[in-house]
Order: sequence, then C-alpha cells, then structure tokens
Amino acid sequence: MLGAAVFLGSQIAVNNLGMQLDEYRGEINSAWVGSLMSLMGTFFIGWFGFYLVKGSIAHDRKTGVGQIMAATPLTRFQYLFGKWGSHFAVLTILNLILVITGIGILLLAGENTQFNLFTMLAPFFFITLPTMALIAAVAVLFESIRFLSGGFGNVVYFFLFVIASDSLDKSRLAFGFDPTGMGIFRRSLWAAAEAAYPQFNGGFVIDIQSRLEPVQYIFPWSGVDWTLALVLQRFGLIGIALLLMVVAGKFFDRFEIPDYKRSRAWRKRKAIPTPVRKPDPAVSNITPVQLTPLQPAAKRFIFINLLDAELKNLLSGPRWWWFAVALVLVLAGGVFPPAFTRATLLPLAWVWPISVWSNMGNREIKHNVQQLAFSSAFPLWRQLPAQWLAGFMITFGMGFGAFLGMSMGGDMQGLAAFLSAAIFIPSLALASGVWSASNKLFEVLYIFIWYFGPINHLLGLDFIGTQGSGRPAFFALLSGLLIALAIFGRKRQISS
Amino acid sequence: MNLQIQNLGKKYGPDLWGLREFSIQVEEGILGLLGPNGAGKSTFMRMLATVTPPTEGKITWGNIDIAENPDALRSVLGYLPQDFGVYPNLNAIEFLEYMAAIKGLEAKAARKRIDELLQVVNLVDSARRPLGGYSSGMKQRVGIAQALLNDPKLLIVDEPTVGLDPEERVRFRNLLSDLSGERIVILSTHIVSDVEAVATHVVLLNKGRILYTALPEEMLQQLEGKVWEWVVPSSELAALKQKHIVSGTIRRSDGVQVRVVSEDKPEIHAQSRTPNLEDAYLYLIGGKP
Repeated sequence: MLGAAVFLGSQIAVNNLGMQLDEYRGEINSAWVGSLMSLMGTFFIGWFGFYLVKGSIAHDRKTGVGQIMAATPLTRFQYLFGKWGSHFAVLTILNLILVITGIGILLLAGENTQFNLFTMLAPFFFITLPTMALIAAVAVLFESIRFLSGGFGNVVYFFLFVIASDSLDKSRLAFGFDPTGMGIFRRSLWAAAEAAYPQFNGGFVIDIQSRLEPVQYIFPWSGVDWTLALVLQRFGLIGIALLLMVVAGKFFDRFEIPDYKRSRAWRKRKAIPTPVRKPDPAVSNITPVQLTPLQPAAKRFIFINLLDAELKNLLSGPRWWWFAVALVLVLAGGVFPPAFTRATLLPLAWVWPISVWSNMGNREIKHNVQQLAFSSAFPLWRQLPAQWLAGFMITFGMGFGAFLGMSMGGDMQGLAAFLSAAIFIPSLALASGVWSASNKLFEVLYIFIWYFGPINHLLGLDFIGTQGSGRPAFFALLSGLLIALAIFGRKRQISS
Repeated sequence: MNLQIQNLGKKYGPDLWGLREFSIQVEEGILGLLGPNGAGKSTFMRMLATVTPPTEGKITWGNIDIAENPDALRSVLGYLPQDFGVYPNLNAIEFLEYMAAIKGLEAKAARKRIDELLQVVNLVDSARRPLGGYSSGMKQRVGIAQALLNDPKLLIVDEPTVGLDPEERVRFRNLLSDLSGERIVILSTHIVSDVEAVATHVVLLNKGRILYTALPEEMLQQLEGKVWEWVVPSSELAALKQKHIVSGTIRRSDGVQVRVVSEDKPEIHAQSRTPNLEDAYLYLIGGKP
C-alpha cells in the first residue's frame, strides 16, 4: 500500500492523473495542489486503505494474542480505540506521502511558485484527516460485527464508499452527507470558475489524463474559505468516528469466544448430540485396530478424483440459500433475452460466487494446511491445475444459462467474451490468492474490475463484454499471465 | 529401503544455523528424536518431509537424492507436522478424502482406508461433524489419520501426542509400535516417556547438532549406578537443584523425595535406583531442571 501511495503520487506528479472542471482548471498554486492531493488521497486511500487496515482484530483472534490481551485489564473500548489509532496513523502516513509529492509538483509546475503553507496543508488537515479518522473507525466497526468482518463486509464497504463519494460527479451531495469532503471542493471551485468565466456551466472530474478534456481555461483560485462552521463540520466526523467506536464496543466480543467457536461448524456441532456409549469392560478402548496394508494398485493418481475433491472443498462454505440464489441466476440466464442476460444477469451471476473464488490459491496457507498439502507428490502440477479447473467449472456453471442462450443464438462474439471471462475470473482468483495468501486482494480487485468494467463500462475493464464485443483476446492473454504468476508463486511457496 | 542423511544443515540467518552437520543412517524401526526447544528437531523433520530445502548436505531415500527428486519420497511419505490446520467446513471423511486425492489414492481403496483409520484414531462417532468444531486433540487425531492414508514407507511425526488425552496417547503409541515393522518411523517429541515406550533408536539433539545417538538400552546403561533417591527437607530443595541434576521430586509428609542423577553417591541416605530415559536425557543434555 505504501508502494501504491508512492505510485499514486508519482502519477499525479507526471500529470497522468488529474482533476478538472471539464475544460477548466485552476491555476497550479498552493491551494490547487493541496486540494488535488487531498482529494486524491481521500478518494483512493480512503477507498482502498480500508482493506489495508481491516483485519488486525481478526489477526489478534487468529494468533491467540487477543485472548492474552483479554486476560489483562485492557477494556473493550481501550482496545478498539488503540486499533482505531493505529489504523488512523497508517492512513495518515499514506496521505502524507501525497502531501510531500504535492510540494514537488508545485515547485516543478512553475505556474505559481509562491508557497503558502496554510493554504497547502489546510485540505489535508480539514478534509483528509477527518475522513481517514472516519474510515479507520468504520474498519474497526466492521471487524467488530461478525457478519461484516469477512468478505461480505469488504463488498459492502466498496459500495458504501461509492455512495459516500457520490458528490464527486453529481450536482447533489450523497444523502446530504459529504464524508469525503469532495462537495466542499467542488462548490468552491465552481464559484471561482464562474467568477472568472461566466459561461462556465459545471462539471468536475478526477480521471486519467488521456480521458480528460484538453484544458481551455485556467482560473485563479485561492482555496476553500475555511470558515469556523466548515471546520467544525469536518471535525464533526471525528466525533462520528468516536461514536462508531462506542457502537463497535457493543458488538465486539472481547475475544470471549475463541476463533474456532465462532465458526458455523462449531455452532452446528452443538446441534449434534454426542452419542453416549456405555463402556464395555470386555473391550478396552485401547485395543488397537489393525490397519490393512494398502495394495500397490490402490496408489493410482486419478485427476478427476482430485478435481472432485477440490470442487467439494471450494463449495463447502456457502449455505443452502447461496446455492438457491445461484440456481435462480443460472436458470434466469437461459430464460431471459440474450441481450438482457449479457448486460444484467451475467454480471450478477459472476459476482455472486466472489466468496467462493476468493478462497482459491490461499486456502492452504490461510488454514495452515500447506505442510500437509505441499509434502504430497507433485503439489504444483496436480493440485494447482485441479484448483483452477474447479474455479473455472464454477464460473462456467454460473454462466451456463447465458452460454446456452448465446450458443443457440449463434452469438460468436458473445461466446468469445464469455469464454475469456470464464478463464479470466479463476485465473485472477488463483494468482491473487497465491500471492496474497488471503481472500482480501481478490475480493477488492475483482469488485473494482467488476464495478468499473461490466457495470460502468469504464477503463477497458468490461471483461464480460456487456455492451459490444468486449476484449476477449486481451483477457485471455491476461489470464495466461495470471496463471503463470500463480504457478511461479506456488513454486516459491513449495520450495521455501 | 533406507534413509541416509549426510552432513545436513539449515541456515536461517547470516550466523544462525537451525541444524548443522547432521549425519545419520536410518533403517526400519522407530527413531526417536529428543532435544530441548530450539534443538533443531522440527527443522530436521521439515527438511526430511521436503517442505523446507536444506542449506547444505544431502538426504537420500534408497538411491534417490530427494533434493533432485522430492516427489519420489513424497509418494511414500506420511507427515504429521507439529503445527498444522484443517479445512473447517469439511468433516473428517471429506477432509481425508481430499487428502487421499492429493496423495493419489484410488477412490474406493481410499474410502476403505479412511473407514479403518477413523476406527484407529477413534473418530468414528464424530466423522461427519465439520472439523471447525473439533477440539485440538480431535484435530490431532485427524492429522494422524491423514499421515497414515497412503500406508507410508516413511512416517514422520512431529510432536504427535500433543493435545491427546492419556488414553489416546497410549493408543497412538501402540499404533506406532504396530506400524514400525516394515517402515521407518521418525518420532520427535518433548515427552521422553513416549520415546521410551516405542523408539528402537534415539537421537539426542542440542543447539542444532547431534549430541548422542544410540539404542535406548545403551543410553540407560550409561546411567547405571548414577540415579539416586532420598528425602530432603523442603528448605534444602533449592540448594540441591543448584548442585545436582534433579530429575524428579515427590512431596511427602516428611519432606521432598528427590531423584538425582549424579556420578557419585550424593548423600549418605541416598538409595540407588534403576535409571529411565528421562534421567538419561537430563544427564546427557547436562541440564538442571
């Protein structure tokens, strides 16, 4: 993430990423650069930094450190407050990298080298920091609420942020609430642009440079007018963050329940009565049972057995209602008109199994089974292909209705996009899982690609080809690279 | 089939060796590895199980160098690591079926083997419960079962009795003895009595090097006439521990009965006792508990 923050800063510095009001922009001065960096940080670090900091309570739970801390006088709120503080510090440091980059941009641009420290840093203090405080608290809250602590919470946050930052390109604030502070900049910038160019009629966008309109007009802007009311309103977010911590404290179990007892498996265990056996004095429990020697013919590797086992393992998590929804999506894909299926149903069918795919490639390490799995024969060339193929079958299966519709309609372009997507999804899952040893990377990456690609048709990420032919050759090639990455990563794991 | 280990070493940092100059030839039977924490037992086991590559030296299985062809050993290997997990949503049968598929067992034979193994590890009644609800001892027994799935020629078990109740511990020791006939079993543990009960050979490790290797009876012979017991007042116990290797204490109404390993008779009332492997272990490690 530190690397990503540096990369983000460098992209802004070399003008690959910019902020404009359609063909208007402000003069590059302390106010403009400070606000630009604040906006970029709030938007990108706010969105993805959440995933970086979320998980530390789960880590304490998994390692057992939580139980040790629970036996100390540390209170529920003190613990959560400590987590909030550390999350906030991490997010602040990442944003500080952008601020430092901003100083460099100001000096290099040369449009206005007059350096005004307050104007430059005010957006960081009044916009970025309160937002980061809120995001740090949301991360703690999500981790404290059981159903939001896993993959589902990751997806929820993604859309929560989309809604919260709605003010970026809309004329209204999202629900009248502007936690990211983007509406504050927009209003101030619009006022300055209108004052300089009365014909200005709105527009506000942050995007990659090649997608921005050429700048026609540059207007002077001395920054947001930081009134006391505005500053208090922003610092109110810190109050909301603290309130969220209190709420989190209500949900947080203070490690009362050990990790294994939180699982559905444990709760299920309680429902099964333990059989009561009367001891038979004639038969000692210690009487050894003789093992029949295994015949050499029994040691015969059959790939289909492993594939079957991988499929069962991948599908062992979801509950009955998950399968019911999956079935409805598959069947609906075959019933509705192909165009609707491709544009709407297929994207839905291909986001539903996100928590299944996200187990690929990392399950061994996450559950500490790697020593058992990797000490078996040919772990690279048996287990990894079986895992990929199981992921592919699930992907293909979820899109089967759509596949039938396209096949019967002779939609060759659609089929090419379908197949490349069916290859791309498990490849991305496997590579992300192997390299991150966690579900999180795939869940974040995939939902990002899915949201901007098939849903919003942006950035060339529409791997399904919901509108038009898609980019099957590109995604097939990318899949090949991802598979190669997964093989390389797994090879490293096996031989390390 | 024999296992040859020549000059094996594992380096973890510029000056940190987990194991060094480890050479041994292992034949059929149970080799017990003993040593204090950090002696290098698990490092050795992980290298032998092809999980960690050695920094130097060579492991040969028959005529095969396992660094060059690890899969030759993996196909006949059963490995129970010290620290391992299970897939919590699978039940014991599903997990063992999954491991059997990984190990390349034919499905029908695997099912029969799993049925037998569940009886061996006494998990028949719980076999259809998700593993996430198992206690640590039950998980350990699943681990034991998976290590035996492919009827391994080389069985490596690292601290196998951790978490087992006394009855299950005895059951496992019996099982190991039964299994050891035509295969090599390598057993690493802190529990000296486990090694004493089943091992045919003992290797004592300390600070990453072999300290001693022998038959258990040879180790015990060294201690003949060096183990003593007598009763001391509680107030003298601390001073005694400073002076001698105390391998056991039992509190009594007239003081504390101490068991001491000493070259000479340490006290006029001390009675000579038959040595056990724990006495030998402490004597050879040179530790004062």
